[in-house]
Amino acid sequence: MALLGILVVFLVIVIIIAFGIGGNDETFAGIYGSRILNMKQIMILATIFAITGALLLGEAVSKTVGKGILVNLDDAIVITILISTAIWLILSSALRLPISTTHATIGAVIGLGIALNEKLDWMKIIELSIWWVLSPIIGFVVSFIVFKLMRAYKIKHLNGFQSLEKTEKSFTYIVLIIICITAFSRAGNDCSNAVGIVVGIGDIKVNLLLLITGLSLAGGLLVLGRGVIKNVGRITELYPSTAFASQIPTAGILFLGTTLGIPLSGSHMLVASLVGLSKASHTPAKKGLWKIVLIWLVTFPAAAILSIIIYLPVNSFF
Amino acid sequence: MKFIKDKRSELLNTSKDFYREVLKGSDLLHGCINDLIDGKLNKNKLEEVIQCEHKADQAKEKYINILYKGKRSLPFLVEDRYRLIKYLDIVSDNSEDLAHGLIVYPFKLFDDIKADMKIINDLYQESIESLVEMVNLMEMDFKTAYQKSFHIETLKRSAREAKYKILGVLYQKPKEKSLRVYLTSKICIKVYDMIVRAEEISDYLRSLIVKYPSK
Repeated sequence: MALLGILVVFLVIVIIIAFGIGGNDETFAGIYGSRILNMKQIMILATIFAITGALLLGEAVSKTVGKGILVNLDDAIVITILISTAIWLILSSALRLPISTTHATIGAVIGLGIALNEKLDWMKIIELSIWWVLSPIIGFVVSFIVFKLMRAYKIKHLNGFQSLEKTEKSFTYIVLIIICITAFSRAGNDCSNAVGIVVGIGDIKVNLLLLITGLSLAGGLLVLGRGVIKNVGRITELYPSTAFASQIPTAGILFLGTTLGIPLSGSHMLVASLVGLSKASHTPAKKGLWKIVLIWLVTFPAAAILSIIIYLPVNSFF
Repeated sequence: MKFIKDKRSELLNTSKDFYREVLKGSDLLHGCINDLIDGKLNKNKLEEVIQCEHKADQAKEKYINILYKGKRSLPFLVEDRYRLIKYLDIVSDNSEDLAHGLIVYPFKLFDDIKADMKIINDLYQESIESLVEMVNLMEMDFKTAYQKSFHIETLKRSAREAKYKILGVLYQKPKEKSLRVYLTSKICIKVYDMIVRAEEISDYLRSLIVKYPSK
C-alpha cells in the first residue's frame, strides 16, 4: 500500500514534469508562423508525435539529470531538480515565453549544489555557460547567412509567381517532414527526462508509463504549448522558405552539437535564428522580444531559487 | 495534391476569363473611338463595351473568391494578386465610363484633331494589350515582364504628346461651342487617363518583380 502511495506520488510528479516540458515545446513554431498548418492541425500532429515519440523512443533514452555538474546525486535532489524545472517551464509557458529546459535544469542543479554545500564542477558550468551565450549567436549568424544565400539563389532563378509558389511548396514539404522528425525525437528525449525517476518503482509497466508521459507532454502542448508556438512563430514574418532558413540550420547544428557532446539550446537558437532572419530580410521583428531575453536571463537564478525552496519539503518526504 | 493543382488551375483559368473580357472591352472601345473619328459611332458596339465590363466584374468576383478560399501560406502573394486584379478592374471601369460618355456625346469630332485622336486611341489599345500581357508574364517570366513595363512607359510618353496636341488645337477654338470643346477634351483626357493608369499598374508590377526575390 505504501509502495502504491509512493508510485502515485511519483506518477503525479512525472505528469507535472512532462506537462511542463510539453508546454514549452516550440518545435512547431516555424510551421505555425509560415502558415503551413493551422493551430488545430499542429495540435493534432504534435499530439501524435508526442505520444508515438514517447512510446517508441522514450525507453531507449535514459538520462540522469544533473550528472556531471553535481558530484553527489540522491533521489530527493533529482526530484527537486525536475519539479523546480517543471514549475519554471509551466510559468514561462503560461507567459507564452520559450526557455531552454537544460538551462532551467542546470540552474536548479547549481542552486541546490550551493545551498547544500555540495561539490560543483565549476569548469563544466563555465563550459555550459559559454555554449548558452554562443547558441543564440550561432542561430542568428547561420540563419542570416542561409537567408542571404537563398536570396541570391532566388534573384538568379526566381521567374514568376508560379515558380515562387512551386519553390515554396517544396519547402513546405521539407520543413514539415523535418519538424515532424524533430518533434518525434524530442518527445522521446523529453520523455526520458520525466520518466527516469519512476523506472524501477513497483511493477508498473514501462509502456504504460511512457504512454502516460506521452499524454502529459501532449497535454502540456495543448494547454500551454499553443501560446508559446504562436509567440515564437510570430517573431518575424515567415514563409515556408524562411521557416526552412530558420529551422533547418537550428536542427542541423543541434544534431551536430548533440553528436559532439556540446549542450546547445534549441529554444535559444530558434529564437535567435528568427531574429537573424528578420535582420537579413529587413522585416521588423515582433515587439516584446525583450521579454524572451529577460526570461532567459532570469531562468538561471529563478530555477536555482525554486529548487532551494522545493528541496525542503521534497527531502522531508523522501 | 490534386486539389491544390485544381485550385491553382481554377484561379489561372478565371484570371484568363477576366483578362479576356478586359481586352475585349478595350478592343471594342478602340473600335468605337475609331468609329467616332470616322463619324459613324455605333451605340450598340458601345453597349457591348459595357457588357464586357460586367462580365469582367463577374470573373473578378469569382477570382477573388477562389483567391481567398482555403489557407494562405503566401499571404503577400494573395494580397498582390488581389491588388493586381483590382487595378485592372479600374481600367475596365474607366472603359465602361467612357463608353457611357460616348453614348450621350452629341457632337462630331473636329477634323483637325482626328489624326492625333487616332494616335492616342491606338496607344490606348496597345498599352492595355501590353499591360494584360505583362500581367500574364508575371506568372512565369519576370524578366520579360520587366522589359514590358518600360514599353508601356514609352507608350504613355507618346500618348502625352498626342493629348497636348489635341488639347492645344481644342483650346484654339474660341468661336466653337464651349460644350463641344469641353466634351471633346474630356474624351481625349479620359483615353489618356487609361493609358496613365496602365503605366501606373506596370510600375507597380515592376516593384513586385524587384520585391519578390528578396522575400
